[in-house]
Amino acid sequence: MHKTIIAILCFLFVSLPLAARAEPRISIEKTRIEMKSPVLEGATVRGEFEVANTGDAELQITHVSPG
Amino acid sequence: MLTVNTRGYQGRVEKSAAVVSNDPGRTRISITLSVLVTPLFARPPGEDLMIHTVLNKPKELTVNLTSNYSKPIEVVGVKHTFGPQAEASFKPVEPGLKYQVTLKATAAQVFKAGGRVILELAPGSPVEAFLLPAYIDVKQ
Repeated sequence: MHKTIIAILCFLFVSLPLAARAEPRISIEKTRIEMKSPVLEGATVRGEFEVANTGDAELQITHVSPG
Repeated sequence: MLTVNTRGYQGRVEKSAAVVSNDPGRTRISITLSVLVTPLFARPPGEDLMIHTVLNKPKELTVNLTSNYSKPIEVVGVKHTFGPQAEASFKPVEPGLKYQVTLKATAAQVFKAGGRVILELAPGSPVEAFLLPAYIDVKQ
């Protein structure tokens, strides 16, 4: 009984810090998009950036701001 | 998604944004969209509206514009940003396709400034106005 309690405590001692270290990791494959073809003045151009989470916790994008 | 509206821009245009997240290692990542913008009207190399003159000697320069657009573009008016120091006019050479734009420095007083000649375009054009950079230098 005594040994079991010690084993559980050891497990918690080792695993809790690991669990606490779980964190999101943002990954954007291309952070710069250069349109290959020129566009005529007045056109609206859109670029899509793929964002992935390679971490082990939920990734939250809080905001996207110009600049 | 990042969007660039190219109205009023020519040449290389870039727009950036910062993506802010709860990733403790990279809380802020910059993303950039870059595009080369062709002007609505092309003008021959060296044809610039840069006027150098002296007081009381009015001088004018003309540039030839050719549309880069797939459909005719009608120029309906012309304005400029030089106030009483200049007069601007335009003449269709091939309506909808080629135009001549003239800027005249009145040279009534010593003056030096950069500005714009603004071609007003008919409704339905890709932009409401086409901007031409210009410069006037009237010396004593």
